Formats: sequence, structure tokens, C-alpha cells
Amino acid sequence: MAVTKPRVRDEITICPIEGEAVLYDPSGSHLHYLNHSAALVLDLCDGSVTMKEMAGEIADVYEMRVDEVEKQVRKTVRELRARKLLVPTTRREADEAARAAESARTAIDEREEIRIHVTRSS
Amino acid sequence: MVSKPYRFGRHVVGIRTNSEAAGEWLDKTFRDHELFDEEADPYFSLYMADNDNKKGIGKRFHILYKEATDVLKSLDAAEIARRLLWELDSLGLYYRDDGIFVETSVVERNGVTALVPTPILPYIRLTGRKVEREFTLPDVPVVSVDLVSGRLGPVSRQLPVSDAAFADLRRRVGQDGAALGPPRAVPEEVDIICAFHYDPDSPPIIPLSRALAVYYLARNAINLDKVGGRALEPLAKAIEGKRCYLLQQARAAQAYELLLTVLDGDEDALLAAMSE
Repeated sequence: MAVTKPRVRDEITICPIEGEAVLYDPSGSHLHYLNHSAALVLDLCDGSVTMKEMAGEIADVYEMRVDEVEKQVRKTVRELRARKLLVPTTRREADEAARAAESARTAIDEREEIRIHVTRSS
Repeated sequence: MVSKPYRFGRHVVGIRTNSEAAGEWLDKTFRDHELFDEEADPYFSLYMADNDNKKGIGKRFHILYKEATDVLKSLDAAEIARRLLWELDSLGLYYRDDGIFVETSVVERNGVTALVPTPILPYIRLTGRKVEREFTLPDVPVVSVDLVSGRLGPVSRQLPVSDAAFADLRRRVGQDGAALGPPRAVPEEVDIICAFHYDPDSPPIIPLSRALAVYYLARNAINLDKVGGRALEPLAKAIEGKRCYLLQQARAAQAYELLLTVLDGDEDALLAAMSE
């Protein structure tokens, strides 16, 4: 089985602020806030390291046990995946992401239409 | 009653008024926008006080309505017209990308300024007229944040209407009261950033990290779809070095008191509210 190396989707804008982060996802215009530990994991999601390696790096810096950190890293990566911030790793996730992007585009188009034609609230 | 349809950018908008004089002013001012082949229900209504009619007690107000809601009451017709202009301009904010247009208001008390989400102001006003006495409230409900510097400013006007045109309206409809000066300036920066939330179980005041403050501000950006991720860095610059708080809005009176507390900066009161 191939080992997953999580990577943030290219379209996501990341604004790191004092150890935390605010992210903008153009598909659906979603905003995300990440606390210190989630931002730390996200920062390592560049597609070059596995979750185990991430845990090793963090454990080194913070002088913690690797197995404890790895649990937390896996949980955070699951959360980032659930928020669709990472590049999909399965066909199913990829299809879902494509559908979400398409429906976001349509929703924005529809919103524009509504704003043009319906100035009175019904 | 005079009612006509106009096109502003992508929007077709009906404007009506009870005053022949104001109708003539609208004709003259928006001549290039008037539509002859389309109809539109009145969206904005200008009710101008009849100053020749001396019946009744006290002064008479001009009123700008947006649908059935009174947006502004004023003794100064020019102020009503300025606000109408602003409302017409704001129809296009969603499509613009020459700034980040945040639905937030600059509230001031004793020289201390705070950015407060605009939708909270009508709620706080439920506590009565003391709100106007204790705070200086803004003229317009949206602040522009510069895409490079993160400095605050007014939303730039798109419809070219000169100050002389506003004076002209004053002359046409008459004036029962002092003419107001130009609108209050938006400061380039503020001292405090406030966000509000509803969670009766949390302390009344919670200090906000800068990242969370940016998140809350960005959520109120009208043109976030248009500006996208470029909005985040300037918003972060806008709040650099500012005190940021998350305030409880479970009750209007409490939200009002908490806003007073953070603007007064009384350390003891702040600490008490944070540890409740």
C-alpha cells in the first residue's frame, strides 16, 4: 500500500498569523480558522513527508513522544481532509472534490443572477 | 407621487418620491441612468417633509426608505440624498475588487475607536437612545480595507454626483434645520476590533487571537467571492497591534454594556468580564 504524503490543495490561500492560520477556499468561498496545532500540521502538508515523519519532526521540536504526536497528527489530517483542504488521495474523494467545485461555480453564477434581477425581496 | 426606473450598473431600481421638487432633482441628477423601456417597482422612496406646512409640533424629517424600512431620517435633504447615493453605489459592491468591503462600522467613544459588525448595531440600539449619546455611530455601514496597505477608508463613490448637486436639492425642497456638514471620515485604523457571538455559557468577553479576528472580519466581507484569498493579508495588516475581543450578544443590554466596557478600556471591568 502506498504511503500517503498529505498536500494542501493549490487553490487554497493560507494566511499564517502568529502561529495560527486563516484559510480561504475558492470552491464555495469557504473560510477556515486553524488553531496553533492544526496550523503546525498544515504547514507540514507539502506533499513531501508522511504523517509519521510529520509526527517525528514535531516531537523533536516539542520534545514529546512520537506515538502520542502521531495520533494527534493523524486526527488533524483527517479533519483537514474532511474540510477538503488537502489534495484528494482516493478516486472517490477526487470525484467529490470535482463535484463540489462545479457546484460552487454554479452557485456563484446563480447568486450573481439573483443579485442582478431581483432587487426587491419577495 | 413620482416614480421612475433607473439602471445602475447591473441593477434596475425604482425610485419614488412624494415631492415634485425632489422628483425634478432625481430627473436631473440621474438623467443618464433613467430607463424608458423597462419598469421597476420602487425600491427606494424619498419622503420629503413639507416645510411650508407649519401644522404639527417640532421639526419635520425627510426620510429615505429602502423597501418598507426607513434607512435614514434627517432634517437635511442633502444628507438623505447622500445616503441614497451610497445605497445605489452599494448595489455594486459585490462585483467590485478595488478594495475589501467589510460590513463593519467604526464606533467611537471618547476618542477610542472600534470596528463592530454592522448587523449588531440595530440590536444594540434596542436598548434605547442612550446608544446615540454614549457612542459616535458611523454614517455608512461598510468600511473599505485597502488591498495593499490594509488601511481603512470609505468606500469610494462610483456615481459621480457633485457636492453642488446636494446643495441644489436643499434649495429645491427647502430646509427646516441646520444643514449637516460632510459625512464623518473613516479613520485609517482603529484601536479595537470587536466580534460578537451567541454563547450564554462562555465568559461575556473573550480576548480574540489575531487569526480569529481576521476570520470574523473576512466573514463580513461583502465581496469576498470577488477578491478571494487576496483579502486575508490586508485584513491581517488592518488589525495588526490592535486589541481584539469576542463579545457576548445573548441580550441587547449586555451587548451594549460590553461594548462600553471594551471602549472604556477599564482593566478591572475587562478582567471581571473575562473571568465570569
